[in-house]
Amino acid sequence: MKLRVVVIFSMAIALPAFAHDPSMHKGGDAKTPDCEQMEKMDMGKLDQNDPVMKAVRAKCMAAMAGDHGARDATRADKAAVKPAKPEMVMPPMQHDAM
Amino acid sequence: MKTLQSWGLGLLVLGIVVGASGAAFIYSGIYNIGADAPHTRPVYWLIEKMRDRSVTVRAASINVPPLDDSDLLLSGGPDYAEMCSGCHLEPGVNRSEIRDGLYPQPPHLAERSDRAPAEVFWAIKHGIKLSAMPAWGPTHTDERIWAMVAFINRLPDLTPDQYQILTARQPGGEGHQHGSEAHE
Repeated sequence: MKLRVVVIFSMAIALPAFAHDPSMHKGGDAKTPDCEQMEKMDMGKLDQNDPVMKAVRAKCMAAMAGDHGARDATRADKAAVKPAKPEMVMPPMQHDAM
Repeated sequence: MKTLQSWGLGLLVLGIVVGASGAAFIYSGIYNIGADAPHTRPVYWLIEKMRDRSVTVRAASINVPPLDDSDLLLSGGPDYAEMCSGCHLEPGVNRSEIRDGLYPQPPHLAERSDRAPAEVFWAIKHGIKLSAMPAWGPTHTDERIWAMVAFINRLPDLTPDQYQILTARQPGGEGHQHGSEAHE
């Protein structure tokens, strides 16, 4: 019983030693640029000829073009696999009832 | 003549003593090589001075191309994020797990400094012995390394948002491939 208490207590103390902020593993390798931030930038105050601004614009325009291309591709795929209308099956005419 | 002989003998004995002492020092293992045991200040100064002078002398003959090109930033950004940011950090980030255990600690490249582009290029291409800085030259062309230098040059100016945009790879874009870009 005493051993169990000691083990559990030791683990409780040791656990924080292994825990660390997951954000430390975050690298700058996001798959897509977050171009929404561009809208918040005060363009009037920024030098549009600055290579940084040129690169940011180019990256965001390419990302938007890619999004449009993806949307167009998705629409094309949906059109290509439009389900066929089910054939109308008429029940046989019952001449006897007439 | 006797004086000269005495001097010669004295120097020989001194050389043997110094050599033997050095060998004893090395083979005893008395010097702690652990990355968590800092050098003494004089040793650190000596190593740092030797490193800086070595890079400066070898980078002196490097011609720096124009670095104010947005295309270089677009190429260098993702490479920096994938190859460098873990140790050299990024805007708004001051720690990383690996960096905490490195000695010497890598410079925080998002902070301003007077690093010369030619020296940055040399360090990326050739690495630094007995540090965690690898030589990227065997696996990356000079053009790709210069793009990283251009990005590092502007890194202190970037906001975290600009950094995120410039370092993100486009979906379907050129990924990080090794081995096919070896350059002598």
